[in-house]
Amino acid sequence: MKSLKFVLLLTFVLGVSACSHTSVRHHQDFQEAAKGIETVVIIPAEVEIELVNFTGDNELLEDEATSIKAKIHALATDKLTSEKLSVIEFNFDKEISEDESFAYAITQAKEAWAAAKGDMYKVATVPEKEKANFQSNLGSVLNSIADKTNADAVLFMNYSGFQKSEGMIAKDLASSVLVGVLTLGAVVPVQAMAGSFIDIALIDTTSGKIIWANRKNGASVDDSVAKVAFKEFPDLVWKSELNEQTLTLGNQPNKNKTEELVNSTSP
Amino acid sequence: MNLVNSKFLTVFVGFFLCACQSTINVRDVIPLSDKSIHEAVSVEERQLIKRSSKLHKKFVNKGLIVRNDKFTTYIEQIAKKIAPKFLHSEIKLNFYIFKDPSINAFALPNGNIYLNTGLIGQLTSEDQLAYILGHEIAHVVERHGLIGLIDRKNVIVTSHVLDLMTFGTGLVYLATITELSSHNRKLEDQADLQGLRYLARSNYKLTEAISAFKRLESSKYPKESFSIWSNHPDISKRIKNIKGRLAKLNVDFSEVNNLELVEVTQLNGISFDDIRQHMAKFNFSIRLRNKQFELAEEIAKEELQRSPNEALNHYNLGEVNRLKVSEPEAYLREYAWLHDKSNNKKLKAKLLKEMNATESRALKYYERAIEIEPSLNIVNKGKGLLALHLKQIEQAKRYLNTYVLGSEVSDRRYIESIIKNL
Repeated sequence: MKSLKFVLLLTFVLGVSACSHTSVRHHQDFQEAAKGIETVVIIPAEVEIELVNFTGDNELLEDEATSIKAKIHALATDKLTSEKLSVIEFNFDKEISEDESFAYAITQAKEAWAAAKGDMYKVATVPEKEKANFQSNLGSVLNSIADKTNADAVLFMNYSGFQKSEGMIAKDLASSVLVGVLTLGAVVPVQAMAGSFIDIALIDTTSGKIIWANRKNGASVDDSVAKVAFKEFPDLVWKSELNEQTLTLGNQPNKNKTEELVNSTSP
Repeated sequence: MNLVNSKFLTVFVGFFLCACQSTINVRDVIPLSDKSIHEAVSVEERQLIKRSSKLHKKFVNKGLIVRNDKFTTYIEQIAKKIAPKFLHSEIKLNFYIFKDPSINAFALPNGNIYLNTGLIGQLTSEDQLAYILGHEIAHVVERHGLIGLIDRKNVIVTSHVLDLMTFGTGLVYLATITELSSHNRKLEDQADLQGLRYLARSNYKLTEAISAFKRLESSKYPKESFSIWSNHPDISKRIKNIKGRLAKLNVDFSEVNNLELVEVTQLNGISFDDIRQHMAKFNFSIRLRNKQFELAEEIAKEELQRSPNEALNHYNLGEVNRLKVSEPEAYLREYAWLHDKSNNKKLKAKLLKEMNATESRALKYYERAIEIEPSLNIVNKGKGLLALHLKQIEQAKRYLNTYVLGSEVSDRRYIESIIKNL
């Protein structure tokens, strides 16, 4: 009886894990592509936070946006560095103000990323085993960014959030109470007072392959949504790790370990 | 009791509406053309001007403004002929070409006017452009940005209050949308009329206003943008209105030019067609990058019709066809969207059936481009990538290697990464 329970539990756990879904996406060659990545440049995040006003004249909260932008940039740097990737510090503001075509190259790359998302996010989540079935590719659009920054990959981040004004919250509360009264308490709608959404992608600047992409929703306007998204950043064998391994092994008699490492990560 | 309740409700609603109202009434907003010296009339207008400047800075930082002094001067000279003179401490007319292939133009409350590359690419004469400019100038002069904001605020606040009175069911917001769009249409109609008045002061042909609308109406796929310049049912109505207004002026409609490119005089060494051609190239490359193959094809075909001996036009059509077969999912998605079809297996099967013919078309266009201009190196890239798609590896290697040997290869990294993997 005990073993039957164990088998049933195991089947249930396996069933659940097999059916688990994810918002993560990879190009089908992501593991191979990772082996060519040592340096990453973080494109300044697009951050927009809106204050939803009672009058409909919504405002952009610029101070909050600047603060979130700095926070998620720092989060991204920490994550990439912890994965042994080297983050290139590049003065985008200066280059953009001096070089119009570079500014447009970044916009073009973002547009191409947006178009690729059409392929990757036809559905919000896919089963874990299907997350690397994608062939989305930005083509050569990142080549000019690579030439300028010398980065093997770029990290794009888009963050959007909203906060409701006090007037709007009061209005929502009042309408919730009224609907509650009307339905004799059967329905009391609870409306969100704030929310955020983040979209992130790490893309190979040479081949245009999307190595990793993720998106998350949150119920507050802060960097928590980015933290959740970065938790799912993959632990891959990057070029930087291969180099490190080669250097270490260079002093040892058996160099086949590097090959083993390379082979073990092939898709 | 009921009387007390209704009084309370009236006072409450009245108080609520007053508290949230704008600091200025629509009737107090005077057009800028009355020859006096103006300044911002309210907190709202100051805010709008500030926001406009920020938005413009954003456009510049994104590289979305076409920086070509010759083109800008050309547009400024047209505007000079039609715009009324006005003095405002913070509002000044500035003209920009905006890198966006959709058919649209817009004015910001600080006087900045943006003409999309997509709109310029669709027009056929300087007179048509002059009318569009007149319409946008009218939005600035009549302070439509401010009027729109005041209207919106009033309608939305009233809707919120009515929503509460109807137990928060949200039904009232359906009426809000209708009300807001009717306000918007009124402002557009006023800008149409003022645009005509401005045009009447110049030597530009008034009938070109109709031609401009007809040109925009002729766009094969208007649904890809929702601007006032591409909304077809509205355009038909607007043509009718303009005809009515021109009839009162005894204008001869036989002059209305429908679709043909008009021979135009040059302004400072630049003709309208120089700008239009430049914009068409922009629009084509943006469409292709956004995987909008049918929309790119529409532009390329029109350019080919105008210049059949231009090798690049043949190459562009080769690219459209190659990308259709290389990225069938993107093509399917665009096709379903443009033709209002369901993106299902049946449609996929239909499009896949046509792939062989599409491949042949791509090759045919590439061959024709090389025939016209044998030194056009970019064709090697197209042929190489097509061969790669058809799994003709040796051919692909040969073409792509030839391509990267050329000078000015902007995507060298990408192509070399492909060759490396072959």
